[in-house]
Amino acid sequence: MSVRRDAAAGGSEGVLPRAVVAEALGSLSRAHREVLTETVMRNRSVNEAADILGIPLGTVKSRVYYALRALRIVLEERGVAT
Amino acid sequence: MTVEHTDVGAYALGLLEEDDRRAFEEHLSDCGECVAELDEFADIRGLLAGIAPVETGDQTNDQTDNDVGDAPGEIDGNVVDLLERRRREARRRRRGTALIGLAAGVALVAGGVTIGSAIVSPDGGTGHQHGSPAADVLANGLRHTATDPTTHATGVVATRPEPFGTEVGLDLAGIRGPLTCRLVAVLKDGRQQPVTEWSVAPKGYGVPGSPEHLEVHGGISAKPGDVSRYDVLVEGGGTLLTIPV
Repeated sequence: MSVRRDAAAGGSEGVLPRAVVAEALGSLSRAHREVLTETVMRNRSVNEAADILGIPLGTVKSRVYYALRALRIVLEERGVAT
Repeated sequence: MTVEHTDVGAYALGLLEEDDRRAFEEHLSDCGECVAELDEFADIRGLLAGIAPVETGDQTNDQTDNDVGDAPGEIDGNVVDLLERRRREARRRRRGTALIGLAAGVALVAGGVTIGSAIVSPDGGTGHQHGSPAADVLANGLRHTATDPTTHATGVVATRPEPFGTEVGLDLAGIRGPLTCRLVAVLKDGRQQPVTEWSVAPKGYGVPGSPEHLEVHGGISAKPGDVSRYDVLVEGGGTLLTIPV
């Protein structure tokens, strides 16, 4: 099944303005963006990201948490998140 | 291992490894605060998953942030893999959910019962459980979006192939009630299959004063590829929204 093609074709006109989300990611602090990049964007668990970043697992987990909160606030400001 | 409340972020994104995930789920079962936060993060997860496939080209150009380092443009390379991995993970997590989907399909055949409706509530209100089937398929399924220029209803339908047919989630906004609505799948051969039904209170969903979206979930026996569109129909006649797939 053509998941890739469909996924790419499916959302050009989005209820979720993706460019805004990308831009919101760019406005996060370096540490927050880094932790999201090294985990969710690069297909890694927090454990794997902790090894790669050389920081404790607990720090990665809490940083993911605060990064999400920051992202949420940015998105709310831009009227994306409800 | 210790469970922290802040693990909810990594959990919401599916980033915890097996042991931590299980430990956190145990914690979730009696921490209302974390359940509420999970609700908040559920749509962020959907946004992060959804952003990827179309961002590759113009994103770096649009990037006004001077901070070098991990340019968000790099992010996109792995997104398909990521989505696939999330999908696989969700499948593992979802054994129970698949059964719910199946039961929903059966219930609908039996007589159109409202099923699986859950509201993502930013204030953590209502009985929205973590991992609601609707949120799960919306976060992990194949998404299609549409906005009706006349009714201003806007929706995302997400589908996922299942042994029984197709699991379907709908996120709907821009509607006011009172209405009774029905989501139907219109197949390529013209037949229709009901997905689910729900009612809309006067205050509505995804409108000023009532920002929460409606999320509903159901299933059909047709395969995802056999469907040409999903229609949100209004009881009494009329189509609120058509989402081509």
